[in-house]
Amino acid sequence: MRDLEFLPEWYPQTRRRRRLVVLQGWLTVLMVLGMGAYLFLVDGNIASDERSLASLKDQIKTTDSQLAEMDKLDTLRRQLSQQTQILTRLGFYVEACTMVHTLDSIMPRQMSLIGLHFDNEEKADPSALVAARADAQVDRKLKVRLQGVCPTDVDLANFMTQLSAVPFFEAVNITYAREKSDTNHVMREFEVTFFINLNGA
Amino acid sequence: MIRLTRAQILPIGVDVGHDSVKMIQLEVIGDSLTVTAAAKMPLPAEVKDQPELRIAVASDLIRQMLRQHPFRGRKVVAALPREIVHMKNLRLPQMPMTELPAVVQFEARNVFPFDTEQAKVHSLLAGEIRQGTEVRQEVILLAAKNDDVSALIEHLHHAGAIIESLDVEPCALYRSVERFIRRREDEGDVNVIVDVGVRRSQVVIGRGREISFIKPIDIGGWHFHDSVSKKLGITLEEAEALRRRLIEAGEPADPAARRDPVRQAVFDATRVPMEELGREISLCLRYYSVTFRGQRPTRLRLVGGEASDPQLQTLLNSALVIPVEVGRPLYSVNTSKMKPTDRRGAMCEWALALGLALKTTTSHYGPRDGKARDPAGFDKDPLNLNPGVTSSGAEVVDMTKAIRDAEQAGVRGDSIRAGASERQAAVAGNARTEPTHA
Repeated sequence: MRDLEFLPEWYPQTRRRRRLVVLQGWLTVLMVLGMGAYLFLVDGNIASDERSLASLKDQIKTTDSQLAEMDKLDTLRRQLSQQTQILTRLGFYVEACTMVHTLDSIMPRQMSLIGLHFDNEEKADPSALVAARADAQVDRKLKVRLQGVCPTDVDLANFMTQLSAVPFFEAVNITYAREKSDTNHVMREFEVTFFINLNGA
Repeated sequence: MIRLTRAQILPIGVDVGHDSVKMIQLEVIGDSLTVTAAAKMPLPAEVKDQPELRIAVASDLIRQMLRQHPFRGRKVVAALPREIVHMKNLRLPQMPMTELPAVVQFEARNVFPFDTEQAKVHSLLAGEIRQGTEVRQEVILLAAKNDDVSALIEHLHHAGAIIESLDVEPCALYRSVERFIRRREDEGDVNVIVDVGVRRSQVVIGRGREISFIKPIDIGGWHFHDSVSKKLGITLEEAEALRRRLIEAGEPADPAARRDPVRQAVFDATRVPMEELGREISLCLRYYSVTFRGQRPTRLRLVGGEASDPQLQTLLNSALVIPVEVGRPLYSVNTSKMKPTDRRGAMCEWALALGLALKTTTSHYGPRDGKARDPAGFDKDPLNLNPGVTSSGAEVVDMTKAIRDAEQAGVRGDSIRAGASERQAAVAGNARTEPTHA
C-alpha cells in the first residue's frame, strides 16, 4: 500500500533543528559548568599555591637567618681552625704553676719535692715523604722529671697511683727510689718522670 | 514475565472525529500487536454545533489524554480533517510509471481550484480501466493547502504532540485492513470499507494492498439524529441519546419488544437517510464493478461510530448486493490494556485510529479471523457490468456523475437486482407490519 505523507518537509527539519539547538544548549550549559568547575578548581589551586609560596617564603626567611648565623659560625669555625692550626704547630702551652699546683694536690703531705724539670721533646717523622709535606706533623711532648723525698715507700706508691690517675699524664715511671739519711733521718729519695701530650687537635 | 521478543512501540494514532477524539498506541511484540494505551474523550456539545472549532478544542483534549493515559512518548500520527482534503479522480492514458508523477503534478494544476504550488498534492494509482477499446489509468488525486496543514500542525503542536506523520482518512481506514493481509491469495481480494461517521460517511474500496476507489458521502449519524429529532419533535441531543440507548440495547429477540413504538418511530425516522446512504454505497459498488476489472467485492465492512447500529446494518444488507458486516478492526490486536468500557461491542469506531497508529510500520500481521479461501468464491461476480465511456488524453472524472452514469449505462445484472429487491422487499414488508409515527 502506498502511504501518503502530508507532513510538510519543514516540520521534521524544524524538529531536527530544534533537537540540535536543545543539544547545543545542553552542551553549552555543560561546557559552562565544566569551565566553572575548572575555574573553581584553578582558583583553589592558585590559593593553595599562594599559601605554599607564603610558607616557602617564611621558610626562606628562616633559612636566611640560619644562614647568617651559619656564616657567623663559619667565620668562628675558620678562626678556631686557624687557632687549631697554630696550636698544632706550636703545641699546647702548659703553665708551670698549674702543673705545680696539680702535683701539690695529689702529693702526700709528708712528701717534699726537691727538684722539678720541664723539658720539651719534639719528634719529627723521619721519612722523606712526610718531611716533604708542608703541614708535616711533629710529635710534641712535655717531659716532666721531678725529684722528691718521702718517709716511706707507701707514700711513694700512693703518689704514683695518684699520678697515674691523672688523665693527661702519660707514661708515669719511677726513674729511681733509694734510701737517704740526713741528720739521722732515713727517708726515701726518688725520681719520677711522665709526659704530657702537647699535640693539638 | 520476561519478554524474549523485541517490542517496538508505535506512534499514537489520533482520530479527531466530529463527536470525540480517539487515541490509540500499539506495541509490536514479535509478530503480533498489543494496545499499549487507548483513550477516547467526547468533544463538548458546543463544538458539535461549530465544527470550525473542532480542531482547536480537540488539541486541548489531546493534551489531556496524553497527560492522563499511559501513552509512551508524544509522537502521533494524525489524519487531515476531511474538510481540508480535496480529492479528484483523473483518467490518464497508459504511460510508464516514471512519467506518471510529473503528469499528475501537471494535471493537478488544472484540476484543483487553488494554486497547487501552495498545496501538497499526492496521488494514488487506482488501477487500469477500460474505456471502449482504450485502457487508461485511473488516478486519485488528494491535495491539501499548505495553510490548512500548517494550521493543523500548529494545533497539534499546542497539544504537546510531536507529529510523526500526517495521513488522510481513506488511507488510514484501508490500512486497518491492509496490514492484516499476509497471504498472497488474499492480495487479490476486494475489500470494501464504509466508514459511517457523525457528519459524513466514506466508501473506500481496494484490491489487495492498493486503494482503487474513495468516495465521501455527506450522510452520517448527524442526519440520522436530525431525522429522529424532526420526527419525534425532540432536540438533537435527545435524539442522539435515544438512538445511543437503542443501539446499546441491541436488536431485541422478542418480536413484542420490536414493536415498541419508540423503537419503531426511530426506525421509521432514520429509514430515509439510511436508505439514501445504502443507495449511495450501492452506486459506488456498481461504479467499481463497472470501472475496474478483476475480482468483485464479496462483503462490505462497516466501521465508524455509527456502524454498530443494527438498523443500519439491516437496511444496508437489504439495499446492497453483498453482505454487510460490522468491521472488527481490533479483533486481531491484544486489547487487554484497554478500558473495559472501550472494549464493548465490535469496537468499529477505532478503525481510523488503528490505521493511523499502523502508519509507521510496514510489517503485516496475522488476522485472528482469517479463514481458508473458498475456490468457488472466485467465480462469483455479482456485479458484472461493462463500462461504455471513451475519451482521449487526461480526463477529470466527476465521481458523482460517473457513478450515476455507471448505474444508467451499465447495470444489467437482473439476478443481482432481484436479490437486492428481495432483501429490500423483506425489510419494507417488515416495516409495513409495524405501526409508524409519521
